[in-house]
Formats: sequence, structure tokens, C-alpha cells
Amino acid sequence: MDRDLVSSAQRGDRSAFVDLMHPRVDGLFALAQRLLRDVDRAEDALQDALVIAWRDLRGLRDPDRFDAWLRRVVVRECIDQATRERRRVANLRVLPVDGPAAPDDLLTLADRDQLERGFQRLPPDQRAILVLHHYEGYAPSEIAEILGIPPGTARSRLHHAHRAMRAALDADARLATAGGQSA
Amino acid sequence: MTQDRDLGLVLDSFFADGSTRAPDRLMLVVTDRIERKRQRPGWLVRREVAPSRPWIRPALVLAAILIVALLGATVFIVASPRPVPGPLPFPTALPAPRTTPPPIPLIQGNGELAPGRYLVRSNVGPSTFVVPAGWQISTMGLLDYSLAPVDAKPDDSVRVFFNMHISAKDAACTEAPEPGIPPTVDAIVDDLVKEKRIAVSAPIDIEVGGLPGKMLDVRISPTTKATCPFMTDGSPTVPLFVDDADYVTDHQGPEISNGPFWGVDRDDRLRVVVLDRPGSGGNVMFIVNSADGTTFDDLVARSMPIIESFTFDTGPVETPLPVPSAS
Repeated sequence: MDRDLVSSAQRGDRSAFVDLMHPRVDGLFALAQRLLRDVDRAEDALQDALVIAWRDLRGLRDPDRFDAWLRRVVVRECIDQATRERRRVANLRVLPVDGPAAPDDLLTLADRDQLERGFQRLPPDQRAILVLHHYEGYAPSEIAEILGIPPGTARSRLHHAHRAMRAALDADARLATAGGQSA
Repeated sequence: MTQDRDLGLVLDSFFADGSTRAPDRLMLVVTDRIERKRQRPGWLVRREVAPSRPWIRPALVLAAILIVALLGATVFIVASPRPVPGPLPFPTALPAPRTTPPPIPLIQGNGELAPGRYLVRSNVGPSTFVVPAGWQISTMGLLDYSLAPVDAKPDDSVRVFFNMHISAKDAACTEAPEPGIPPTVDAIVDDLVKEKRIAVSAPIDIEVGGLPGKMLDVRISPTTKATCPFMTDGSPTVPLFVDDADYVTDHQGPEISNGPFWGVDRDDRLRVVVLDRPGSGGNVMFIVNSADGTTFDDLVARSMPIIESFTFDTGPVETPLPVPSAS
């Protein structure tokens, strides 16, 4: 069914494209929001990504790979936007925007704040890999396909992202400890 | 914090929190935006695009305004009544009744076509053609348009271009004409025949709608390793043709113009029909494009009668015909 919709959309049928998007847009928005950490920026990025997907849909050779291709378009647009934002407000701390974090027996608010800051310090491509792995549940080989990079590169970047997150969190913990001692 | 916990579990929990539903307006906005956005041809899309550059968008808007103004002026001039040769003996007399051929439907957008003759107005003037059942207009732009069987593979089509040039041959695959090659049939075909990166058939003389030209089949040479910077996988590709429009840019990168830019990839097979337009100094170019090569013979057999039906005359006064969307 979706294959037919993809083929129709590739022939210029806009309603087919919209039909394809409706069941996917929530999931893609969740992905964009987690990558960009901002609802408004996620909405802007997803809008742009879907228009790019429409514009470039004829470049998709195999309709069965539509979902991976679409994710790639969305993630790339988010990475582009995060890169632009990173240049513009390199030192601006972006706060969580969805209100207070839900109660969680694993993470405290302080944990979340540390994670948020650590995540914001990562290069956008490493952020994307973390989200695809930990939120979407993709294996490195699947991430490689989505991002169009070699599997070894995906594995390497995931490793570096984990290491960077751990280092960032440990640094924050040390700062907190030092701040507590000097107070 | 993380010393006693598994970082993976922490990150799983961290990312689990957040929005899971898109705002309702998002799809409304996207639907509105794609209504005003035409799709790119597969060949162009398969190239990697450069990162966004913020100054491109205003330039694109300005260029789009100029193109629309130019198109409007062209349509106005073409649609203006032509002077009747010779003086009328009795200017106030009623015109004599005459037989008027039925108007030819004007195509204004994408969609499947009923069998018959159609009129398309482009930036260089009107053209008409006849389609059998089972064909559609697959793209309709200011500078080019395309036809395709409704059952065609996505990238298979018959492209109609105007005033195409041989594309630059530099390693950067610049989207600009190669200097020193005029856009005439002889010069274009001569260059294709000499181009070592492609394999071509012997050119054959052809006449379409009273315009003289040549046709030949093109594919990438099996030994070609040449590629372009936009082919991130390094696969072979050879840019062939580019239009002579001003090189307005797209927000995805300055190297991509909004005009046609066409070439061959590893699997493409093309039939190129190029016609001189005497007096204008330009040309009409048809490209029958089979994206994976396997459909080439069938596509050519179905396309050539359509190509041979083209006329480039203004013809009778047309009336707009709503074209149903393909479904």
C-alpha cells in the first residue's frame, strides 16, 4: 500500500505524499524534537525536511526504502539546523522545553540538567547518532544506512558520543563537587 | 552520577522524555508549501547537496520574481493578436465567417492526459504534441517540462528542454555552459561524439515540426571512472547539458541552478533529440531517459511518436483545460 503511495507521490501526486506523511509525522517530530531539544525548532526543521522530501522524492530509487530515506532527510535537516544554531549561539544554554520532566525513578532533575548540557555540547552528527540509537533503537549498521555513512563510521561516532557524554557528565559532577566544597 | 549506572540505560531514559505528537498545524503548513513546490528530476536529486547558506534564499526570491516577470512578458507578447497583413478595404465591415479548428487544450500542471493534442507554453514559446492514452505530464516548470507513461518507473521520462548547452567539463562539474560551444545541433552533437566519457550511437538526421536536427543514444562509457563532487559515493557520472538561464541558486547550495542540468549516471540510458530553432539561435532538446537502462528500448518506442508529433507554432487560440491529477 505504502509502496503504491510512494510511487504515486514520485509521479507528482501531492495527496499521496500527504497520505504517506500523516502516520509518520508524529514519530518524525519526536525524533526532531529530541535531536534539537526545542519544540519550535523541531517544527521548523520538520517542515523544511518534509518539503525537501517532496522536492527530492524522485531521487529515491527503491520505494521500499522510503522510511529509511525519509528519516535520513529529516535527520540531515535537523543536523543542518543544529549546526547553524550552534554557530549562532555557541554559548547559549538551551533549556528543556516540554515543561518539567516526568517523574522518573532512574533520573533526577539534576541528572537531566547534566545530560542536557552534555548533549548540547556534542557535535550535531553525534547527537543524531545518540538519538537514533537510544530513542529510535537502531543498531549502528541501521544508523549507517539512515545517515549514509559506513557502518564502521557509525560505530565509531556512537562510541565517541558515549565517551563525550560520560566525560561531560563527569566534568559536571566534578564542578558540582568543587562548587559544593568552596561554598 | 553515572559511575554506578549504565550510561546506556540513562540515555534511554533521558530520550524517552519529550514530545511525541506533532502540532496539528504542521501538516497543514507542509501541505500548503508543497502545493507551491515542484519536484526535482531524479538525475538532479541523486546528487549530494551542499549545506544551506542563509544568503541564498533572498537571491532565489529575487531570481524567481525576475523569471516570473519574464514569463509573464513572454506570454503577453505571444498571446497578443498578430497584425493582419494588408489593409482592410472596409474597416467597419463584419468579418467573413470562417471555419476555426477546435482549440487545443492548454496544459497548466501535472496530471494524466486523455489522448489528443495539447499545448504547452514555456519561456521560449508554445509547443504542441499528441499523446496516446496512458501518458501524463510529470513535471511542468518554467524552463522545461516532461512527459512519462503513467506506468513508468519514477525516473523514466521524456524531457523537453529549450536552449540547452553542452555543460562545463571541469572536475567540479560546474553547472554552467562549456565556453566556446554554441547551442547548435552540429556543435552539440559534434561534442557528444567526441566526448570520451560517454558512448554514443551514430547521429541520425531527423526533422520535427519543421525543425531540423539530429538524434543519438547516449550512455556512460563502461570504462569511465569520472565522477562529480556531488556524487558522494564516487560513482561515475558525466554532466552533459545545461540551460542558458541566469544561474539563480537554490537554498540547498549555490552550485544548483533552478534550470535544467542533465547528464548520465552509471545506469542511465538516454536518447537525445536536438533541433535547431532557426532565427532564435537556440534549440529544442528532447531527452528520453531510462534511469536504470532496462526500460530504454520500450520507452524509446513509446516516446518517439510523441516527439515526432511536436509542433512549435502558435496554433489556434487555446482554452485552458483543467488537468486531472494523477491518482
